[in-house]
Amino acid sequence: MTAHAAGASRSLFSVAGLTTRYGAIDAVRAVDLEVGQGEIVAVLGPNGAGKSTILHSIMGLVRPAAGTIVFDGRDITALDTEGTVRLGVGLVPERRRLFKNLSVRDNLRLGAAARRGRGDKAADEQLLFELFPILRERMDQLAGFLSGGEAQQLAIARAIMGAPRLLLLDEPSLGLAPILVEAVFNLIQGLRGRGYTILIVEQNAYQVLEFADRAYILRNGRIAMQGTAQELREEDSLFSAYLGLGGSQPACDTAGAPAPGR
Amino acid sequence: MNQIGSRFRPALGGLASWLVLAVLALLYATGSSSRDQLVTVMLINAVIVVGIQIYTGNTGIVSFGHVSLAGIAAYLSALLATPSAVKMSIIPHAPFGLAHVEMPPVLGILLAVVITTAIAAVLGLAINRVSGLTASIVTLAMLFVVNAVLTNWKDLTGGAEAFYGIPVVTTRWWVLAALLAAVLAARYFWASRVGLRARAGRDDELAAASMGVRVVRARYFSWVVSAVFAALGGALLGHLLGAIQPGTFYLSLNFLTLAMLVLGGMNSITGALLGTVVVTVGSELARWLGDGPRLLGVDLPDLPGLSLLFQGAVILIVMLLKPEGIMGDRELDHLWRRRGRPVSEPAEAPALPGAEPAEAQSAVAPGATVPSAAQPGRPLLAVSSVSMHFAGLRAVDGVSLEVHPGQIVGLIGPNGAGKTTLLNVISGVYSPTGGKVTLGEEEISSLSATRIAWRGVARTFQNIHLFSGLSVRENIEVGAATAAAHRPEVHRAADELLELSGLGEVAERKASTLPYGLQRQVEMARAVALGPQVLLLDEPAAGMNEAESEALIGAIRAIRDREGCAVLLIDHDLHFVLNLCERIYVLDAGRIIAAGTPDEIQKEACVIEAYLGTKAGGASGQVQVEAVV
Amino acid sequence: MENVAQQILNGLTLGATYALMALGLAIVFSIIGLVNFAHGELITISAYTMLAMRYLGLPWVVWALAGVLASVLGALVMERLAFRPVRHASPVTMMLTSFGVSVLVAAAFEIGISPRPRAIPQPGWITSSFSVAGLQLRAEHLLTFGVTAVALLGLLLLLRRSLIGAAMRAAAEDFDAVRLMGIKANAVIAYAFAISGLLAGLASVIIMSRRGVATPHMGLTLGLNAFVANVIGGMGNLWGAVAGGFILGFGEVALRAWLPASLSGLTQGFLFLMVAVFLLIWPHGLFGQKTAVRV
Repeated sequence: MTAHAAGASRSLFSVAGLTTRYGAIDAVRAVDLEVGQGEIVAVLGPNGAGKSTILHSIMGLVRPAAGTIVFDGRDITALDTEGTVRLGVGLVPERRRLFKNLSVRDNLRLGAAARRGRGDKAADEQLLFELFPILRERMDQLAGFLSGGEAQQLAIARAIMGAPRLLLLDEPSLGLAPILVEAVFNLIQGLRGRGYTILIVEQNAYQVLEFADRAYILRNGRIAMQGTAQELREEDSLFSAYLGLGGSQPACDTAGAPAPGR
Repeated sequence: MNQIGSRFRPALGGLASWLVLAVLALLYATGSSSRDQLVTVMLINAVIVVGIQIYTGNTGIVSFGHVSLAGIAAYLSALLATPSAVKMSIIPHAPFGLAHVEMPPVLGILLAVVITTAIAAVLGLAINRVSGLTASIVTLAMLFVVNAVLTNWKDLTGGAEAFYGIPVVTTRWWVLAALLAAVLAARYFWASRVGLRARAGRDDELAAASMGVRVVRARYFSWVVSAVFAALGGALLGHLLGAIQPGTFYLSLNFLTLAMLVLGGMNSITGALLGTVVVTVGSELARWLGDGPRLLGVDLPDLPGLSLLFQGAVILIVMLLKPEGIMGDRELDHLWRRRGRPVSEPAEAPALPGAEPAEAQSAVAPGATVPSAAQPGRPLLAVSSVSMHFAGLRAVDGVSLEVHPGQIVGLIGPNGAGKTTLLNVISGVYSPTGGKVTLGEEEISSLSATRIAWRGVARTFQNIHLFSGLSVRENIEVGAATAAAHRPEVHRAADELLELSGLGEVAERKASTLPYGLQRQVEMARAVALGPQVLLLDEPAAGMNEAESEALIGAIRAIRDREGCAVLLIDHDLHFVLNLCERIYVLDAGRIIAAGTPDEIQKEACVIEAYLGTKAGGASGQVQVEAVV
Repeated sequence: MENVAQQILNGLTLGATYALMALGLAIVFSIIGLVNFAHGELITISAYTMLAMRYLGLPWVVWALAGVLASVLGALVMERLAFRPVRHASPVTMMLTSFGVSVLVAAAFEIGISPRPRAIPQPGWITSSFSVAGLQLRAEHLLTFGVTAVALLGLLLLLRRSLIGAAMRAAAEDFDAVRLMGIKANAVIAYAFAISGLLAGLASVIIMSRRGVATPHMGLTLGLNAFVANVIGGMGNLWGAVAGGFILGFGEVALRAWLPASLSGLTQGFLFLMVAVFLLIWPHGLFGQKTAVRV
């Protein structure tokens, strides 16, 4: 499968040759990614594949050992976390990392600190209440008392309040019941029509492939496969590539491969 | 290898550091009497600093309280040994008839050390309950309290005024002998089982508990042993100066000894001695400068507090530039040992032990998955309806599973499924909100992590918890010591364990300096050192490439065969788990959703779903089921 | 009865001072995990600044303002020069760094001013007293209550209402997540230090109005009560620190009232002994949590 540049859309964000180490271990090795303006791109893979590490490297939470990260024509590889956020890259972190002892309102207020005058704050607030009606009722509650689904909504809402031009989502389905997973994914799809550019990292492959434009499959820190969501949905070996059952292990292959799409 | 010899060797090494200092001191001190006095005071300070080092170095807790132990001992010895004629004028109303007691100074000093140690033993009960920074604060409070007592219990101490007339009997020879005793004791304690346990707790309290170490107890022993030498130093100082005040053992001595300890390196006994010398010299220079000497024809101004400034600057500069101090955790004798027998740099990742190529080959050969051994009778480890809830989150929700003797069992599931939480419940890091865990006949879910380790449940951690400041050998010895104490029938010597695990090459390396793959091996070897009945492995293959994880399969099987233990492991690498394990449980959202042999598990639709999510379109896993079956 | 009321008044006054100091320490600890041994030195810095102002013949209000300002600046300078370089070091390294700063500052005052105590005579109105409903009230009491009430209320408002306040509360929970909101880590930390300096400066004004003497080493002794208050309340818990401060204050006043005169010098000794017993039972303090194990 060949890499697909984002067709007509302008490239907003790209990563080239990214390698990040934790101590002696290469968590991510020579990864290339590209996200076009307005696209939803997914990075899929099992846990431990290095997905979160890519996002942490982008955000400046860890320093990459090699590679470049370019956002909107500017090299942000060495930029610190705060600077990256202020440029308009927002992250919804893994396990949400809400401020549990703060009210929902304060969480949103802190989220808005990132906007630096970007966009129309009132309109974003309006959008927020449209997308997340439940949050309006919970404004003065402590974030720690929200249910899992509500908490994930707040995490996304908090990032949106920062008017990100690129929204990174780290495993938004983690720890949610299936019905809530679906709701969260619906929300993310809802953002598409509103001009957001999204890079989503997930383990939950099939559902993400339903709405993503393109995806990269990451395994052991390397990109094992990439293509449009359409191509990957129909790819027999997705499961094996995903879980490392392919190649040397023919015996497992038959068991692992899902049937082609309906 | 004989135990005694191996433990005394470091103590003998300590002799070297002592000799260097002793020779220096004797050479310098053959001059004027003021020089003499200065050197003797320095040597006494060295005794106190080594005393503090025994506590701080082994536990990682900075103590501000040892200076006050020195004060208590100095006063006690003064009370016991000062002629009663003198005492009648200073403290005529002394309680317990102390004004009339008059002991030989040697006896007074010894008794003072004993009583002070006893007092420290009582205070230590409270101090060592808390850890880290809180403990430091408590020791500082202790410094203030003891000072308040010495200042205000006028009947006993004469108050803030000088307690004079103490027989001046301390000679440099006595002090050198005391210092020798302190250095030897410090080195011996460092290498002893208790010292090792204290240092394990210093580096990682959680891992230490999981290796059967009672951290609070080890800390407490360090405290008591260190009190002996702080007290000895204090008593000797009293009998050198002849007159003491509460202020003698207060802030300035505290600043001084702390600067000495920090400069040399808190984790090194040689460092304690070196720091003592350098800070003494520096402080004396500063004091001389501060007294406004005439230099090059210029009268310098009086600058009181210059030596204090020097000490503060030493602490600050060391912290900013080299927080581990000059010596780090090295000792003098390590320097020549290193030169004599260089430790060869190991290859980045040597082949895993126990994984003969043939074995590894068979492990991955298609269809060669070892069939489950017949599992008659009772399980070794039984988890029954265990739940673990955290403030609203049901991390583990009614999980039951069984591990039979000698069985290798895998636990898989997506991120956040509760796998590690379950392992934490089994190993006693958490006590479950519901359900129980039994090992053999015994319910272990109410036991602490330490006691569960004593019963032979060993574990590794997802993000490696080694005792980073300890050598590979010491890491393994922590486990071996627990086995020796609690399950002597399965105990193996560290050397044997090192050889079995193929880590002999790196035995003397500090754990934190090893590459990742080796750290994983050390962690597993440490767990094996416990002589486990059940070995819990949390993502042993994380960060490994395919060849490495295939080798690991052989290694884990070899351990199982050799130790006869059962293995329960978590990994996200399905290929690895399917090939290694005889039985697999699949956890999703805190519940077991499937269990069976690897072949059965591969066919389970819900496993695929748990990992990849439901394929949209189908409301449930229906599509998947069709696809797979 | 009157006596009890008077003692309560005294306990409140003393507790308020400890609470102010403990709170400043707790704010910094909650955000960067530093046990700041140099916190007490802020009080020293402030006291000597007031001394200088007095020599200049300026009115008391100016001393007080200058004293508070000096403490704030002192805290900011310490943060920038000493603590920022060790921010990512181990807690022990951070603590020893602050200890070094504490020793350096005290030595600087020994050298620069004098090792001896220096009197800072307070204006007469501060010690003037009047009685209300049988209670002996001094202006110093009113000053203490006024300052403490305004400071606590102001801090509460800042933490609840302002963005930086929310950021500080958030940083106590998850520092990296605050940076993910685009809020500068350095700014949050500098604010925390400025607030701790402000609170220490206010405490210094109150303490000086009561004791009127400055010594180079007063800081560590005064700081100790703030540490112990934090230990009682649970390290880093803001309102725990305030509670701990008041508990210490009341404890000290009560002990002083009930201990026989011959033991009055041991008040603090008994008090800390009680804290030690308390720690045996609750090693994590009143509101402290056992640090969550993250495996």
